[in-house]
Amino acid sequence: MAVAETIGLQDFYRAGDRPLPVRALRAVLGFIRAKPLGAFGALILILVVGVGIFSPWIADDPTTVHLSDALTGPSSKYWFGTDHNGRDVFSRIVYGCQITALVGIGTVILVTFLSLIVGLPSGYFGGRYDFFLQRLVDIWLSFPAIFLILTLVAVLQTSSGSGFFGLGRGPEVGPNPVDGFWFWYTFPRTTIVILSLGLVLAGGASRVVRSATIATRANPYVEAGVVIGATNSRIILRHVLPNIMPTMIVLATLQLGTAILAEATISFLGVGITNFPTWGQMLSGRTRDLAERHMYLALFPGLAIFLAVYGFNMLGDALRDVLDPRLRGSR
Amino acid sequence: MAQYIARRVLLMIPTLIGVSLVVTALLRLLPADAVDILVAGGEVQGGGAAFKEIVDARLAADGKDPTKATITDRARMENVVINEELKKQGIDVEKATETQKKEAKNTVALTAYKDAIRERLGLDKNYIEQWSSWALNAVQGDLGVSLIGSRPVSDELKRRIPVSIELGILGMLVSVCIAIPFGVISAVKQDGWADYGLRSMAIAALAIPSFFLATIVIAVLSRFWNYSFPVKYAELWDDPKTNLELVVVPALILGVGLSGTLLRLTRAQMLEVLRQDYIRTARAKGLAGRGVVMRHAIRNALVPIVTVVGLQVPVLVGGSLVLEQIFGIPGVARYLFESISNRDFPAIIGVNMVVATVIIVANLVVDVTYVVLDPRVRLA
Repeated sequence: MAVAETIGLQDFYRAGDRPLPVRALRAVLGFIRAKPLGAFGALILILVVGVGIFSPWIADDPTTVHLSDALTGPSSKYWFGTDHNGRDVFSRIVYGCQITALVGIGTVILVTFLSLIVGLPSGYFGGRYDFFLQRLVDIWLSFPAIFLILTLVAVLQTSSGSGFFGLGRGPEVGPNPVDGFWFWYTFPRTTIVILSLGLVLAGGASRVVRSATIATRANPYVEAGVVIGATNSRIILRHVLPNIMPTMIVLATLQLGTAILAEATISFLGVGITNFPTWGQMLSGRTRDLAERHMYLALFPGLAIFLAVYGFNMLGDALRDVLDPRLRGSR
Repeated sequence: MAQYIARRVLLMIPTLIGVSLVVTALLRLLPADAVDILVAGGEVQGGGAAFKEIVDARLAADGKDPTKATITDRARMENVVINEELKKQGIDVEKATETQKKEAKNTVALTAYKDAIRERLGLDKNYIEQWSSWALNAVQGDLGVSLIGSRPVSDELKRRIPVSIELGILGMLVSVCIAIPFGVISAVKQDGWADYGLRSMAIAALAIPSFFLATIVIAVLSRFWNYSFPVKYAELWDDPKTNLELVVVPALILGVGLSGTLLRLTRAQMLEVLRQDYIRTARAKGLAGRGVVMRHAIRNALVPIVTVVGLQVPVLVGGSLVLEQIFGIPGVARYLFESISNRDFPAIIGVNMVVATVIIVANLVVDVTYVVLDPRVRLA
C-alpha cells in the first residue's frame, strides 16, 4: 500500500527529461492505477461539469410539463420517469448539474481565497496577531454550519426590490433554460448561496491553512529567506504559498463535497436556489409523500447527490495520499 | 489544573460576547425596509392592535380612562386620529370618501405597528445600544419576544431543548456503537477485506444525505411493512412509545451519518496504538491477541476519540435540523428553521446564541476531559 500510494508523483518526477505532456499523462495513468477510487471521483467531477455545460444538448427542457404523462415510471421516453407535474426527472437531474457545478466550484474558490487571507498571515506571523485572529475564527466556528448558512441566506434574501447589491432576486419561477442565457436568472440566488456557503466553510478551512503554514514556516529555507533579508510578503508568496499548495488542492477537493452536500440540504429545505431545478429540491416537497409508490422520484436525485459527494471525497482522499501524506487521518 | 480550567472559562467570556455581537450584527445586515417587507408580506399581523393602542393613548391624554371609555368616546377619538392623517395627506376632511378614510386608518395603524417592531428589534437605536440592551436582557434569561404569536423566545426554547437533547444523545450513542467496534475490527484486520469494506462504508456514510436516507426509509417502511410514523410528537414521559417510535429512526440516521468520521478516526488511532512498544511487549509476554487488543490497545486509542465525540456537537445539532423537519420533531433546530422561514428575527438570534453557547461549553468540557484522560497533554 505504502509503495503504491506515491506512484503518481514518482512517475511524474522520474520521467525526467521527457516532454511535459508525456510526463503528465504518465502521472495521470499512475494515479489511476494506484488510486482507482480517486480516479473514479475525478471522472465524476468531469462528468458533473461536462453535463452541466452541455445540458441543453443532452436533455430536453426540464420545465416542460407533460401532464398526461405525470408520475410515469422510468421508460425509454423518460429515462428516470416523470414527477407529479409531469416534468422529466432525467432532464431535471441533467440541468441540476449546472447548479451543483456552479455552487460547488464557486464556493471552493471563495473558501480557498478567504481561508488563505485569514490562515496564511495568522500562521506566518503568529503571536498576538494569531491569537486575536484565531479567537475570531473560534466565534465563527461556534455555530453549526447549517444554522449560519440558513441565517445568512435568509438575511441576504430579505431585501427590497433592487435586492442584494442591486442584483434583484430573480424571477420566482424558473425561466425556460433552453432558450436564453439561463445563468442570469439564477445569478442573484446562486451568488447568495455561494457567498453564504463560502463564508461559513472558510472558518474551518482557515485552520487547516494556518497549521500548514506553521509547519512550512519551520523549514530552513524560510529561515534562509529571512537571513538574506527577503520581505515577509516575498517569503509568504514565493516560499510558503507554493509549499502549502498540495494541502490547498486536497482541502479544495474535500470542500467540494461538503459544499455540494450543504447546497443540496438547503435546497431540500426549500431555501436558496428555488427558481431552477436542483438535486436537493427534487427530494423536497411532495416527493416524500409520493416516494412510497414512486420510489424512483427520490432515488435518482438522491443517488446523484450521493455519487457526487462520494466521488469528490474519494478524490480528495486519494489526492491527500499522493500529495500530502502529512494530512492522512485528519478526516 | 484548576488554573487551566479557570483560564479557559475566562477565555469563554470574550468568545461569548463575540458570538452575541455576530448574531445581533446579522439583524443589522438587513436592509432598512426589511420591516416594511415583513408587514407587507403579512408575515406579522397586529396592525389593528397598534391602532387601538394609539387611540387608547389619545384617550388617556384627554383625561379619560381608556379601559372605561364608552364606544362613542372611542369612535370620536378614532375619527380625530383619522382626520389628522387625512389632513397630513392634504385631503379635505369634509370631502373625504369612505375608502380614503379607511386607507388613512390603515396608514396610521401600519406606521405605528412598524415603529413598534423596529423598537422591539432595537432597529431604532445604533448597533452598540441595540447590542447592549439585548445582551443585558439575555444575561437575565430574557431572549426577547417572538414576532409571531408574541411568545417569549426563552419559553419556546425551554420546551424544545429537552427534545433536541434526547435526539442528540441517542444519535451520538448510535454513532459510537457503530464506529468503535467496527473501527477496531477495521484496524485489527488492516488491509483485509473487512477493512476495505468498512472503510468504504465509512466514506459512504459521510456522503449520503440524511434527507435522502430518511425519505427512502419512510418510503420502504410504508410500502413493504405498511408502517407509518406517528404524526404528532409526544413527550418522553407522557407517551414513551410514541416518542421513541418517532425519535429512534432519526437517531439511527443521525448516528450513521456521524459514524463515518468516528470510524475512520478509531481506525487511525488503533493503528497508531498497535504499533507502540507496549503492545509488542504485551504480545512478547505471550498474551493472546484478543486480550492485547481489548485491554491494552482500545483503552489507549479511546482518549482522542472521546474528544472527537465532543467536537461532533455542532455536526449533531446541524444534522438534526433536517431530520427534525422531516419527522416533525419539535426540537431546537426545527425552531430555528421555522423562525428563519417566518423571518422571526428575535427567535433566530436567540436560538443561534443558545446553540453557540452549548457548543462553546462542550468544547471546553472536551479539552478538560482530554487533559484529565491523558496527563501527557501540555496545558496550554
